[in-house]
Amino acid sequence: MLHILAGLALFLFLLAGLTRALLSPAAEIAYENRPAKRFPAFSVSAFLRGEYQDAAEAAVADQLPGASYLKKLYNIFDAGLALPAVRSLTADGGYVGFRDIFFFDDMMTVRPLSLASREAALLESARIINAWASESPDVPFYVYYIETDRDLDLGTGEKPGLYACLAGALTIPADHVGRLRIDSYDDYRRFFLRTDHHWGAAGAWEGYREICALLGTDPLPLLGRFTRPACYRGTRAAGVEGVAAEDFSVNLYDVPGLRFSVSGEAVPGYGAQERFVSGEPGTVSYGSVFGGDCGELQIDTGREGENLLILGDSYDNAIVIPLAAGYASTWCVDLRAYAAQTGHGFVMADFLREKEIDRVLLVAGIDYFGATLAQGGW
Amino acid sequence: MAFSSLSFLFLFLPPVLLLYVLFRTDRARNVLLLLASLFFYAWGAPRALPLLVGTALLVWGCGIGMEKGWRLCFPLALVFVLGSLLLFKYLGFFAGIIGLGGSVPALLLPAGISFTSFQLLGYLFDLRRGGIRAERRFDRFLLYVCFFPQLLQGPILRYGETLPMLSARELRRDAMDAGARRFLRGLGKKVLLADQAGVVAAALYGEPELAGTAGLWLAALCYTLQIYFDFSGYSDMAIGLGHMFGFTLPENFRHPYCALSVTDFWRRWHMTLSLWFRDYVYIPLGGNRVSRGRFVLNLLTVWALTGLWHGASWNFVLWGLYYGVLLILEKLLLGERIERVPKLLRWVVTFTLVNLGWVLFHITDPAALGPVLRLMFGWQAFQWRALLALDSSVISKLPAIPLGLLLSFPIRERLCGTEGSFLREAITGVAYVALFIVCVMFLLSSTFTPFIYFNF
Repeated sequence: MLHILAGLALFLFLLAGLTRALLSPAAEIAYENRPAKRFPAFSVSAFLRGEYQDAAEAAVADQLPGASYLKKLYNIFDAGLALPAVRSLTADGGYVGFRDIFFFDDMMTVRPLSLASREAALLESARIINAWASESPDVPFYVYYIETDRDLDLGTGEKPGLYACLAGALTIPADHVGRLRIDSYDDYRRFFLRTDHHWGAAGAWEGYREICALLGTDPLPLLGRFTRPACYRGTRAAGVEGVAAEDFSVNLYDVPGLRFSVSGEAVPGYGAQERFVSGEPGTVSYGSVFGGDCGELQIDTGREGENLLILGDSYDNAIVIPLAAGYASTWCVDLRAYAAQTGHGFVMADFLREKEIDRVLLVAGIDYFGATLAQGGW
Repeated sequence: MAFSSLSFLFLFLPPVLLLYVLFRTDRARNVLLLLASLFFYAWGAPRALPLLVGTALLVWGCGIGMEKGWRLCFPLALVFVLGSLLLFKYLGFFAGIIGLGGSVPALLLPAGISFTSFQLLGYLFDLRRGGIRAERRFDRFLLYVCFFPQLLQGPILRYGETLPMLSARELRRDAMDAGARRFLRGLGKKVLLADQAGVVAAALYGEPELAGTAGLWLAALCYTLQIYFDFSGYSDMAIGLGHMFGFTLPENFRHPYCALSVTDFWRRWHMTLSLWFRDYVYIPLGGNRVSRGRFVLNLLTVWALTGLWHGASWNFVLWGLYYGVLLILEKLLLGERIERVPKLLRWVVTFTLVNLGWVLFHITDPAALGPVLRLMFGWQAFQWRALLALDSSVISKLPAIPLGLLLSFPIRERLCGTEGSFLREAITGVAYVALFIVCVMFLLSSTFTPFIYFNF
């Protein structure tokens, strides 16, 4: 009798995977913060290429009832066994790998890139920026490069020279080019989040001040820094159970009433810094607090002045609001999402003319200058 | 489609099992099994399906022709089956030997071709000897060739033993229950032991200089466990599935790592392949009833072919000849004297030799084999801290090594050998359900790793 019951339980579990995948598929995987894969539509050519089978396997993995719980349980088991050893090994100094990230001290990092792996892309990015600048000689271009753990060996202090490669190939005035300089582990630890690739409040403030100096404007005074303790687990901690949440801070500025629009449509705001500061409960992620990656975000102050175009990626989300406070209108363009969200490609000269842009600022790190910008397709 | 894939477990098996139980006649069940088997094969190798069905059709037709006395049928079928094997598996290898490797296009190796070819060859040889009658119904013959539980990795079936089950069989609840348990044990072997040990082996072999002498012996041990639990796990799943569908498939493994000699090891490892070579190659060559020189030649021939069967690469030939030489030494030099050596020492020597054999088997690049062997038999410190610094997630895989070693011995049979009480049955039932859930947990969270023997 017991065997029958156990067998029946197993069989029902087996059948549940099939019925859930086909009849009532889940829309998203909350644990992994991504859409759930659905069962694919059948096509003979996809079947012959094996793509249908791969998609079906991925769909079952996502649609299986309780899959997220099982994944979390596995991650608890996996990290539970490995992390004590990681802590012991990091105490001796140096990087300790765990899956695709590296612990350095208690920071979750990645290893530095070699110049050879990104040199061509950096030179291509420089060529694109130079071409844009020479196409529109009346509009000054500025480049602010954010050095990260990809630009520095945190143990030896050696740098592959990624910034030097980019800066050396740019033909815009040298005083229009700057960087967030990371020369040591202490610098990195001060400016970046422990469980994420993004900069923290201190890094964002440093970057904001230096960008203002580059642009020749005065930064807004920093009124303070609001910190919510132990509330943040960044993308590098995803799936690594047992890594403690870290404090998350936002810089406080006195910003006048701003108006926002995304791809030309008015929106009530960008990000949720005020809600975060007010202590409202909810998921704390970099995107939810500072705003997601918009193809084209426009911020208007409602006063006369210059217009600014910011080209960058998610790093700039943390500083666009104080930056925008110094201009009449500020456009933030994320080339990764621009074409998909606006329905057309990005052409710099057209954009500058249509929006009457007075200055262009590119602010990002190696993932942008060493990949996104150079790869094109935007 | 691998048994340890989520598609097999959740998309394929439940409806096939359900329909199989609902169908009442053997004929309807055979049709279902045949269609399911063809779908199962097409899922993993859609482009190879016509070759499988076409080869089966030709051999089936030739079998009938042979029975009618048409002399050309046997060589025709033989040439076609061996020719397909040669073309898809060995063409590049042999072309490379004569210096034409670059001019031969790389053909996709049809999954399970070595197993199906040997099954078809066995059928032809048995038919020629008059041991069996030719199968008249193609659907039944095709089911014998491509019955999905054994299609990709065996066990290699003999037609004479399979025919009674293809014709009529009983669907018993106790057999289904036993089959499900055997299947789950096989799944556990594959997912929880083989795949985990494989990660450790790959990490160590990936950095031989850091692994040093101790690390490379540990890597050899891990691969030894990986290949055993991978292949025997598949065989358990195949045999378990067979039980669930009313078939009794032959055993393929009998705790090979308990062997006390190399001869003993090969009586316990991949038994259906060893028996195939014994019956269709070794004995026709004269076996051991020949001169000493011819006996040595026969053994070396059989073992070179055994090695080559595993893969079109020199390391497999070397691995086969390694066993050929060991068996010759055992039979001609040691003989009965081996029985006088203490059992523990015999086990240690045999297990070490088997481990070493798997090193030859595993490292397909001849340029990498030399340095690995030099490090294994020289001395270099095991820089485990540096290795862990590369990826410490390997730590969670380490428990598979002692567990695998333990389960290489007949522990479960000793513990669960007798009929249990109600409580014991209850605990066993819950343990199997838990085993399945843990396997699914590992499958969901780890990168999919195909079975090693898919390549053979």
